[in-house]
Amino acid sequence: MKVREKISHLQLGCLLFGYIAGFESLFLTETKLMKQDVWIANVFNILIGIALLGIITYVQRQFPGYKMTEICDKLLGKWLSKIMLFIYLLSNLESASGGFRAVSMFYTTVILPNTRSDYLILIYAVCSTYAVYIGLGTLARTNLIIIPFFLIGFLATCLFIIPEIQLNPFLPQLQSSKSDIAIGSMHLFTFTFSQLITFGFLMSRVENMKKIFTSCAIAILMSGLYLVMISYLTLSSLGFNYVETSTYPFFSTIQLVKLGEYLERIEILLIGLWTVLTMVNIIIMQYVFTLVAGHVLAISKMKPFVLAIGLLFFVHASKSYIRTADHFTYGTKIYPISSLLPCVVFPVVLGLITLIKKKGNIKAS
Amino acid sequence: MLNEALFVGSLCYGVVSFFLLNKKGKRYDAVIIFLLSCFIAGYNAPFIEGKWPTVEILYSGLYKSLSQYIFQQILIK
Repeated sequence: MKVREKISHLQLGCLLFGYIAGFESLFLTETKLMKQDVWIANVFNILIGIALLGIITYVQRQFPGYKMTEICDKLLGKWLSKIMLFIYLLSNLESASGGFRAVSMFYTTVILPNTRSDYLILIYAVCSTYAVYIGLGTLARTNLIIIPFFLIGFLATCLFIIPEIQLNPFLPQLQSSKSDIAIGSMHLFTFTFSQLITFGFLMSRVENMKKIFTSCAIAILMSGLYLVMISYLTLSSLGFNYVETSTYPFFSTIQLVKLGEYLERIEILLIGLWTVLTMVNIIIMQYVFTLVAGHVLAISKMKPFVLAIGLLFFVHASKSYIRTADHFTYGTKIYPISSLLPCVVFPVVLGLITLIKKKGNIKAS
Repeated sequence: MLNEALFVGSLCYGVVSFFLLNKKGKRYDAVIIFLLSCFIAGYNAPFIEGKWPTVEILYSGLYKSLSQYIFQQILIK
């Protein structure tokens, strides 16, 4: 694990897009809940995501040259910072384990029904541990190669799905109740931009810090647009009833893509690209976990710990969310609440303390 | 089979890393990696039978009632 390698603001933005685009298209839970009004959840999500990004980049800009973990120490004091970072580590482990389980569940349900999910998680964990070992720069460059292929694949899917669209699925508007909108928005935010704090820990590694906000805001907008587009395509091509009962609605949508009479099952290509993006998600979580754990435990060199943390991610994921129903219930009921403290309260507190300290310094001077 | 292999593997990794790091004079790091490896081995220990803590179990216990209350309030409003 190389510690000092820098990445560009564009690479960070692309990582953020890959991070969101990979996972969020899997279940489309908020689309099942809100149907034609899902765009409202997306608009809320983008606005809150940009606000959260603004807070995190503001904190980072006040302490250029410092890592987010060091900034936490400066703002909260050593022990409170350690407690908050430890809570973040638990949240990170929770998210990554959920991610491992979701991907393995998808593969064992749709593609490899006779394979044990533990073996799939093991393969994933080996890949992510190797990626953490070779470093963030390599991951960022790999992601830059993957994203154009993913976008081309997605564009092709859109073009092939368009003939299936009969009616505008977003009409009639405003049919969902306020509680459904609140729950849908909260759910979408939890699984997408609430994890911006994870990217906060990578911001000190960006060469041009002034451009982080712009590039990440563009990534947030693009991710939001992508989510609206896949919801539109899925609802319009499959219909409300099918979307509500399907476990993986977007996968069912891309199964409709056919080129001529003989070239079918193009979705496998797209799933390959999508799998790499889900890997990006898990690798970033594991990478940041390694960084933060190194700081919390005051470890001098993290290299020997990379394999141990990879093992921890594997064993924890293989022992968590074993029953599919429990995984869904946890994702919709517990995870949106448990992630509030480390992913929303934590950056907001950091932002407030930075603001108060800055005002205090101005008054003192 | 995988569980047993991981149990033995993680313990061996912990012991080997402990001695290697200790030899380099990093005693603190050595102790941490040994403890971490023992914790990982706990997940696959045949005599523990799935009782080792996970974040899912911890958070389900901590947040279940709060989650029920919040979702109930949202639905009422």
